[in-house]
Amino acid sequence: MPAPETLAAVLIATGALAGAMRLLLMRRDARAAALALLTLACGGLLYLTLFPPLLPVGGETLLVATAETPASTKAGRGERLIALPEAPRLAEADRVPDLATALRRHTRVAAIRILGRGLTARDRDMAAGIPASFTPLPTPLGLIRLDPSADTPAGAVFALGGEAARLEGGAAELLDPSGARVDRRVIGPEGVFTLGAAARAPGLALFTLRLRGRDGAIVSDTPVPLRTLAEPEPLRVLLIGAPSPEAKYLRRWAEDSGIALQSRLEAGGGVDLGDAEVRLDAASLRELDAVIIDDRTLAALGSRSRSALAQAVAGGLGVVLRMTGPATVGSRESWRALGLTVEGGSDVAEVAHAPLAEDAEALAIRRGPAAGDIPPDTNLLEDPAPDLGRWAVKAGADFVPTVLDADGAMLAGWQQRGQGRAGLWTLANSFALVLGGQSDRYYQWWSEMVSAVARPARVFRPEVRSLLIAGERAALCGLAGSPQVRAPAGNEVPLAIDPEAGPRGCAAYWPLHDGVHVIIQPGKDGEETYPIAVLPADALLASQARETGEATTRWVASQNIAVTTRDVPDRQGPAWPWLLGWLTVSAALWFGERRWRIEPA
Amino acid sequence: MSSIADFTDWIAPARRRAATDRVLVWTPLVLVLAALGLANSGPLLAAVMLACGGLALALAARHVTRCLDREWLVRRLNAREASLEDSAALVFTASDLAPMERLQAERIAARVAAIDPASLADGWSQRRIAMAWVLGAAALAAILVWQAREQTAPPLAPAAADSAAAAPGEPGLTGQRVRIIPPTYTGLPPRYADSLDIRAPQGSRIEWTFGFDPQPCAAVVQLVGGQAIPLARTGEGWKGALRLDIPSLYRVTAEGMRAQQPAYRLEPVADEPPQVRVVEPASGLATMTPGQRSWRVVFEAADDYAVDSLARATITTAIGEGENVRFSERSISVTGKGDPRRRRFTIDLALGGYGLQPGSDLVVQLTVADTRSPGPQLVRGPGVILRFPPPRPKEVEGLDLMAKQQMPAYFRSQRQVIIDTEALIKQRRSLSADDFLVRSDTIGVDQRLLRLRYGQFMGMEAEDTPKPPLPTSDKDEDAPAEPDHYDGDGHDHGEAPENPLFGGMGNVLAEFGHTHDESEAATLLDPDTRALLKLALDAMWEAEVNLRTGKPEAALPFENKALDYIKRIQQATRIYLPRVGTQLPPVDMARRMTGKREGIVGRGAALTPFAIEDAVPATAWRALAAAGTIDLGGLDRWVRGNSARLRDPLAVLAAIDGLRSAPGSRAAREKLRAQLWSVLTRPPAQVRRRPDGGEMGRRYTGSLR
Repeated sequence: MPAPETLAAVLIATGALAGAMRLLLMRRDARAAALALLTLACGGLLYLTLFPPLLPVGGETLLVATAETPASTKAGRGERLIALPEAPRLAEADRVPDLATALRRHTRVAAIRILGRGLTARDRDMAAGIPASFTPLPTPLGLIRLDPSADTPAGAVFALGGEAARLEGGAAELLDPSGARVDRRVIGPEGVFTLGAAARAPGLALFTLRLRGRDGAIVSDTPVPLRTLAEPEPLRVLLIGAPSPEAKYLRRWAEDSGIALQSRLEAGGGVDLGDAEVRLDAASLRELDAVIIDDRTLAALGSRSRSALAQAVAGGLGVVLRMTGPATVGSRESWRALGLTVEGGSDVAEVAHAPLAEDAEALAIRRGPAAGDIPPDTNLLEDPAPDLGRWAVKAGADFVPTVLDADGAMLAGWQQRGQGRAGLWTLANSFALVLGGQSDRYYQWWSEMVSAVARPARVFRPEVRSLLIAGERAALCGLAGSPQVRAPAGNEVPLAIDPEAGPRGCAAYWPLHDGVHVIIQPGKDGEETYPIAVLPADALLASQARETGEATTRWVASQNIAVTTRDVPDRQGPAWPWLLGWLTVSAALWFGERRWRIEPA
Repeated sequence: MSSIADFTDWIAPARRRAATDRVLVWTPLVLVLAALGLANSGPLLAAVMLACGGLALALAARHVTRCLDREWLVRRLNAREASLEDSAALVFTASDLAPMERLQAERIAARVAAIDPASLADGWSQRRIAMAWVLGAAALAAILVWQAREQTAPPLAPAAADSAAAAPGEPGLTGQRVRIIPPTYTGLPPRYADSLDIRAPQGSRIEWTFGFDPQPCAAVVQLVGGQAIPLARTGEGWKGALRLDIPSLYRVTAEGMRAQQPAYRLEPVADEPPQVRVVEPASGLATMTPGQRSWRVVFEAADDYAVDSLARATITTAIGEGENVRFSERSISVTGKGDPRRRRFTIDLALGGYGLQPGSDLVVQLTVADTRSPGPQLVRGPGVILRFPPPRPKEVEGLDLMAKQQMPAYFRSQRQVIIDTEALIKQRRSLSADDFLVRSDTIGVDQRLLRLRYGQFMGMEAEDTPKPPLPTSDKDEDAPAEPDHYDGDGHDHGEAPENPLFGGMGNVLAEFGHTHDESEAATLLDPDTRALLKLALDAMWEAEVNLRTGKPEAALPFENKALDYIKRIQQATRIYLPRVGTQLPPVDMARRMTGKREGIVGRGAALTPFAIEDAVPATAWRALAAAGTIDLGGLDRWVRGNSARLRDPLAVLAAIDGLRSAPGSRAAREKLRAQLWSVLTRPPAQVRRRPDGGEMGRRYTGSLR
């Protein structure tokens, strides 16, 4: 059964066409043609009278007041003002707990206009289904972005980035937990800055990011948590090569930084200055986390050892290949077997050094109390940096740089192969850093390199957003079993893992107070703990405001896209104008036919 | 004689009046200046001011009286008395008069005699005197008032807000005042501190005055971990004092206070030693220009309080070249000018007195002291060198390049041996026999070293204790005997000994040593020089024997003879020296090229682990992260023991103290933990393991290729 509209259309069209044809068949002149046209128009109007066209709904606009909405906001004609919980007090405003509630209550709303800072995460989850508009407020003064450093190994240098708005000419300072300034940058016109310092003993420490205006006045103090990791078990590393200064200082670093190092240092003629009984076979390589080998030793390895090494890399071992000379076609071929596909490497380029610290005082604070009886005036900031050369290696997109110099040139990097990683160290004489008084930097670079490639391990390290704020929902992932969170006050809150999150093992947590919270999870041997720092609710107001504005702009854009692709909610238009038109046309038709008496010729 | 030659009686009253008048006008100014001196820097300056003022007044008075002379008297008399008929000059003239004049003089003299000399004097300048004294009195009064206000202490400041609130009936701190009196040498005035946290120059005297309400029976200033200073009750409050020498924390407690009081800092600022900088010449080495007569050196010494204006400049000259360099040193005192904190010392040296020759150096160094007392800090500044440019050496080419134009430096000490020996002989009486022998033997050793050095030119190194070849086997026990050498074993053994007699110079090497170096060194000298050198060595040998057996007198002639020979060698043409490159240790020929590797043990050089001396704070840092007690006493001792290398030990101590007084406070724990960060040693960068990404991560990396 066809729809009534179709049936009516067919019938009316047939009738109208038949009438028009009849007229044209009887006489072929202008009058007949005019009448035929009128007949057709009459049919069309009849159809429209029966089925008037749909008209869009003309509803009211919802004014949504959010944070920082001016207090004088009033609803105009055809508008309705509602206030979300974060909005200030507004006369005439309807208080609602969230936007969804407001949309449910006001069904005749046709559009949304958002006032103030923007919608919080709570309201951005849902689609409103109606067009929305939003004009963001100007960026607030102060810290509008903060990228804290990732977890840092003890003794390593960490960096944090940020962006300050409307503070050009001011300064960003990083204060260590005891309040001493460790780094300082003048804020440029873009407002972006990077600050760094060195981590010390393992644990969670709270640094402070201080922004100063152009006049030196303190604009804001933002706590920045720094988590320094302690390795439960020492990393097992094998150093293979010839006795050389590089090997000497690598051994020194490994010894000092708690690495369980074995070495095979062949002095030639079968003399090994390293540990006895180091063999390169599958079984012993399984017991290692990383191998540092120089290119000449690799080339001199037997094919069995080499294939065992390649197999071990695929199984998770990390290998650092230390270049001591220019790369040749043959050597690159042998590296490829380990999983390193690079080109070039036969030319030496100079390494550009970044200064160790902003000024001498910051350097002294970054280094901390001198270990042992080192006179304070050794290794000053003004001491010249040693000349270092790197083999200019061209690497593909699969190659991940780990150590970069001040100009961004790659000094070391790695490539994934199976479960393991093969790294390339392109500095031929990095030990010169130690001789030049920059042992900190030498250790830092090697720490980054070995950390990047070493065999991965299953350690309890939940994935948590680095900046948690009191009163905001936080997602804690990487959990299993029955984890709990211990709040600073000492009370423990059990976490419910969301089954929807799948193998990631995520749970939600709402920290009520700021302070150090500890995630506790029963593990194989006792409790595993992981401290997380929760910042006070007002710690990141400016950056939250900016994020809210940007997210709201995106949300608004997505609402408007959804509207254009979807059916507009509409209703039947009124029929009477069409009826009137039909009556008029019919009357004209009747009058014309009577007057002209069109008959068959 | 009718004239009154002695006119002084006539002007004496006028002179007295004028002088007194002048003194009266200016005395108030002198008194005010003296009072200012007294107020500013004590009685010494006041006395100096008074003395200078008095002297100035006396001079002024004398100047005034000088103006009152005969002409003045004549003018005054003529002006005063019309009856003198303008002829007073005739009365007081000393020269002979004409008869007419004499007649007139006699007439007038009688009239003059009737005048009272006192009436000639000027009247008192009453208005000026009155004005001066009124102004002076006002100034003195102002100075008095100012001084009085300076010296009265300000009232007690209200107690700091952070002091613990006292329960009703318990004594509470209501007022505080801290007066800091820096040591006098700093020249800093005493001051009142704003807060109880005190930072003052080392050695300052700290005077506290506290008010309590209600009044306690006793009160003390308790140094944290140290002594207690009892406070004495006075009319104004409780007073106590301390000399600030070491940094510490203190708190104010009174008997009956139950709550723990906050701790305040006592931080001495150590006196920095002065710093000396060369202002002129611009570089440390200046070259003398031809004809230069004098040289100006300007040093600038800066200190945090004051540099002593007297400094000592040490002028060292090194005159001569080659062996004949004579050193002499003399000191002169230099007076600095300018701001005491930044004094300039200008030294103008007249170069004529130093007898500089081409190639000689003149070094000037300044030793300054600051005014610290006790124990001024002496600092020796950088030295600046003035060099008389040596003559350009002749252009040489070819083989001559290899010849050294100058004698090597070690030819010079035969003279020293002689000087030492002569000195020893002079001291013979004051020395015991054993000491004498020891000293003589020491010179003998010098003589021997010298002989061996010269002996090098004769190829004599074998006479030195033969050094064992480098260790070739690391095995300590049962080292296998070195394989015997035989002719044709692949390396040279030198010539076979031809003359086995003792003293055969040429073959000593071959006999006792196993040397492989070229014997070129022995053939450097031409035969004449060689003979001379041999004579010199023989004389040295004799001298050495005598010296070592304690007979310096017997050694002296031989020493002089040796010196004489050496002088003649010097005057002999040239000495050729081998071009010396790296001195490699001798190769163990027994082992070389044999392919034998027995006895070589890879020892696996052991490394001493890096010991971080922060176990105590690191433990505390970890312990503070979790609940539980920590060893505050041990931490406290550690911080005190290591305070020299810590940046701000007081802050850590304050945090320890804060936690000790409030053991349960989370804020105190966090504060201490934050302060410990600055104490922790930064370890060498460690490594972290990357996470494996769980099951999903392993699957992902496994399926990458």
